[in-house]
Amino acid sequence: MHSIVFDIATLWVVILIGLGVVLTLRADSVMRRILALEFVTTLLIALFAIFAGGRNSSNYLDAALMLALLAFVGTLAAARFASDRRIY
Amino acid sequence: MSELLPWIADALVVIGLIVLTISIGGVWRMPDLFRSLHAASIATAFGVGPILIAAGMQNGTILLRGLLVVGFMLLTSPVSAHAIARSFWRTESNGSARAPSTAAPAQPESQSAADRPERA
Repeated sequence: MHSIVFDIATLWVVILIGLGVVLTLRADSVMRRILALEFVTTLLIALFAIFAGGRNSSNYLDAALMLALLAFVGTLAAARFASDRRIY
Repeated sequence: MSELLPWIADALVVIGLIVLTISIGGVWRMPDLFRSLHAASIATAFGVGPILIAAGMQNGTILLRGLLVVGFMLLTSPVSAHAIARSFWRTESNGSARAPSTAAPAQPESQSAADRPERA
């Protein structure tokens, strides 16, 4: 991608991450907070992807893959603990 | 063809960013958590996927690794969305989303089991 698109996309995703953090802090229930936190993680993966494309390095995608894996486990554990008071 | 690839990558990045923006707007505005989940699940496949494909448009290694990330997210995001919906159903919704007229907070399993012989 071109460098101007890289700059604008980075700024845009950072603004969206800020909105997601505001959404997480202003949530009225635990489930909505878990959902907003998972959404922030999805946006972080998008930010890593933009960096991997803009800087032409595949090392960012390793971090993105690990972030996706840990976010999945964390969301599953938090959601199950919020309803059942146990993880599994 | 080779000079066309950066423009395709730009278009894919813009598409992904627009979908992500619409998705966070949906999560922000939807009154119910189930509808918020519906809005948030769009972002995984159609928001992050085009950005990851655009990142690997000129590099085969990045493309393969990005497709790995996309496949993993496509596998795991329905499971986590189902976990959030299930825990919301068990704790806060209490079955009122399906039948808002029934004011009695009885357990839906025992109630339906008691009703089933009468209807049959």
